[in-house]
Amino acid sequence: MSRPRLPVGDVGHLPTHAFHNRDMMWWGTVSFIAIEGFTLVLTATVYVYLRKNFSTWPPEGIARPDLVAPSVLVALMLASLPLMRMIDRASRAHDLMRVRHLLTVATVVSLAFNLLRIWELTQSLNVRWDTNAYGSAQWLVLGAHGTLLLMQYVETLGMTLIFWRGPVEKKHFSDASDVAGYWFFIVLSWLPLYLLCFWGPRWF
Amino acid sequence: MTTHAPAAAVDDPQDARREAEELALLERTWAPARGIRGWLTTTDHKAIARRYVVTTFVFFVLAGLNAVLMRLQLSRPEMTLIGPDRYNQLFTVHGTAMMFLFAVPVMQAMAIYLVPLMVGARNISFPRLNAFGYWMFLIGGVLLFTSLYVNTGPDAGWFSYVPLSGPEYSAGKRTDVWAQTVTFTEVAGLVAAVELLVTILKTRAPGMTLARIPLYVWSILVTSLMIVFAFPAVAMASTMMLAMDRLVATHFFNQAEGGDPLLWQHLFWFFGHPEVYIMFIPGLGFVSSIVETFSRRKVFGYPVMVASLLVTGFVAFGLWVHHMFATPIPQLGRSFFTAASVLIAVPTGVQIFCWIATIWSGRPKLTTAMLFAIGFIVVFTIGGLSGVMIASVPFDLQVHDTFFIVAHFHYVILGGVVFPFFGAVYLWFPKITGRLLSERLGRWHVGLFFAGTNVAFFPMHLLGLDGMPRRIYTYLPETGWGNLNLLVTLGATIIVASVAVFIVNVLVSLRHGVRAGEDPWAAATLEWATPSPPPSYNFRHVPVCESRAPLWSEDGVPAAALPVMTGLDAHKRQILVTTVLDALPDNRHKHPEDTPWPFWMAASLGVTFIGAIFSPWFYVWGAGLATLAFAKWAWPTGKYAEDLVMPKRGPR
Repeated sequence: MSRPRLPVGDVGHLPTHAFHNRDMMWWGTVSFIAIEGFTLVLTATVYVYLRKNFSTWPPEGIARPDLVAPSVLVALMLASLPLMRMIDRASRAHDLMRVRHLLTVATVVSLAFNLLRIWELTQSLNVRWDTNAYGSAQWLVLGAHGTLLLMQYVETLGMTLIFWRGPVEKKHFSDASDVAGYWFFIVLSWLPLYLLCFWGPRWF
Repeated sequence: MTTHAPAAAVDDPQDARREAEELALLERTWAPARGIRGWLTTTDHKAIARRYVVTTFVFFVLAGLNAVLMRLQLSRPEMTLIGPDRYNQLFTVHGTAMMFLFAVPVMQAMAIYLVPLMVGARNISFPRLNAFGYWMFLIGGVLLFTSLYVNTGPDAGWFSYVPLSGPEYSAGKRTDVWAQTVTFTEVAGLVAAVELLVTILKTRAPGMTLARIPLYVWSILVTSLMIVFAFPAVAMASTMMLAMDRLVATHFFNQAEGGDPLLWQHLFWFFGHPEVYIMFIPGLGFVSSIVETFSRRKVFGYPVMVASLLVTGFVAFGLWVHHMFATPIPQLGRSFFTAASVLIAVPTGVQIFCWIATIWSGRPKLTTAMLFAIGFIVVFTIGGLSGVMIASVPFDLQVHDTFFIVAHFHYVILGGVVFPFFGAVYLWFPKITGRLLSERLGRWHVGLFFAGTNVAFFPMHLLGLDGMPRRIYTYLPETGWGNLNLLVTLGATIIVASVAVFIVNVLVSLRHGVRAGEDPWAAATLEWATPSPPPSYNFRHVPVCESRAPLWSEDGVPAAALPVMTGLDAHKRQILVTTVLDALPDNRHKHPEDTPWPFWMAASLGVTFIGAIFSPWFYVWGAGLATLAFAKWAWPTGKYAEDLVMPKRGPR
């Protein structure tokens, strides 16, 4: 026997999408940022932990990592942040054409991030993953963040294709805004790791 | 929040036809497809949770059979039933399965069923992710047990210490199976944690402020937050470090090349110790629900209970080194981790006092669920006390790697996980199936389980104090351990009998149990405000929460009516999104349709991770496959499109 129900209000007037912390997807994205961000913290911890096993860092006989390509990547990353602000603003304005074009640019930029990361791993680090624990640590940090770069590329590409091919619903603007938010995480999380992996071998 | 409109009961006879039409429409909108297609595509949290719980229980039984074989081997000195190699696989798979395939996932599986109902939502927050998580979990579990049955079972212990598990001392693929099983289960655990977090934070019934969240839901909130910060450590250590040391010759744990075996222990236990609390904090939530329901009063000291859960979740991250007292760590570190290990007993003790106060001041009814809750208090307290003992470094060094430790953690895990789990099944079985479990068989179940647990595990304390090491496949008659080991095996047999009674009870009650109705216990929380079993859409209208016990007008007294909010579109899968702190109605979220692509995504990752046991190139090809599956999963179909800005473009 069920209890009688007593209507006390109606939610039919509420919007069918929302932005940022009003949106459920935003909280999902933030949760995954917490997981991925903490994984990056752990990779940095492993890096520092292994440092104590060596008298010099990098170990003798291994060249220090090059700085040119990694610094170019960091500069490009920082330069891309205003683009993300524009995507966020255009999304909130539900400006289809603008979001579509900005996402296209973002896809190209994200591809460049990935190519530069491959260059860093193969040309800038000057060490292989299987040379010693120093090499393993360098590849761990760059590889872990590189996996996120790859996911960011897939996500951005997918969102761009949706905005070109449709169907596009209003809620997709909220998703595009989340892509921009995730981009900030990818860039900002890399800054300390860049210092650790490329300047660390010069400082400690 | 909207205030009360003038009362107008919806069961007015004039509304009967409209109600029937609306329910039929809701059923068409939310019900999964029939047959195997429905099985592969459903995103209903209840359907997925049911199979999740059953799957975890099957793994529990299989891992339990491992234990039975081990106990038969150890029942007398110099038994020759099982050789050392097989014994190593049996105990490793037993521990791995109980931890990664039962204790944590069964709690998450129950939460996947219960939390959306308890917060008054129509489904879990990310239903496709939920389906994906189940398939990942299933693949991981099948991988582990299949490997055991073809003599490739992991054999380096459930925590797979290096260098034993490294490439030098563990040739073959056994440890790789372990590492990838962990990968599957951790991915499943993490996505479940995210779904549950967002469900709790964003889809609570209007009015369910933070101060009105049921204690069980609080326990899941804390557990999910812990998972977010604990699981990455073991996922990274096993997938990105141990597996890579073995597969592509990295040197994370190879001391000869600057690696560090102790690093594995730090990473593993940074996950492994919070894991203990991740397992039993949901159990504390179960006990709160059981005690509240059958004591007929709200749990005593709600704010203190919530604070205790939060403190436990926080302090749990400061204990991991107490698993490493036998390693060369600084004296200061030992002192700190001893203090923290003792400290964490305080919040749990506070909760135990609150439950006792609730029972004391309530009108307790000794149902089977309540007996399991009381059994939990006794068994778990004994486990907690031996835990405080081994927090002391000198004592820990004496009993390290002995059966005393085996006794301690079985008291904690059976007490903290299995007792509350069984109690929870007796409480919520009628909600899930529509029928009550037999109380008569239930009493046999709880009695045998309580006796079996103590007969099996209490003598292990004595064996450990007498110096019997864990993980030995036999021992000499001269040790004098034979009789106590025989007693332990007898206890294990009693546990087997109790689990058999439980299985019979479930099977019989599914067909012949007394029909439950909507709320057979006259309980307090929202999951009881919908039919048993709940319909695919959970609630016809969004329930409104006006107190911590929304179905009671006062302690133990059922409320006359349930306030609800109307307005969700029955033609679409809409759920109500509310604000985080005050649960004010905010927007209506369009929920995704059913789809097979989470299954295919899990399958493609299954190929990836299992293939990667043999070649790193599977990561490359597998990532491509998974990307394709994800593209199909995420691509909008346009079905039930809402606020369409641009239609789908046809072929040019």
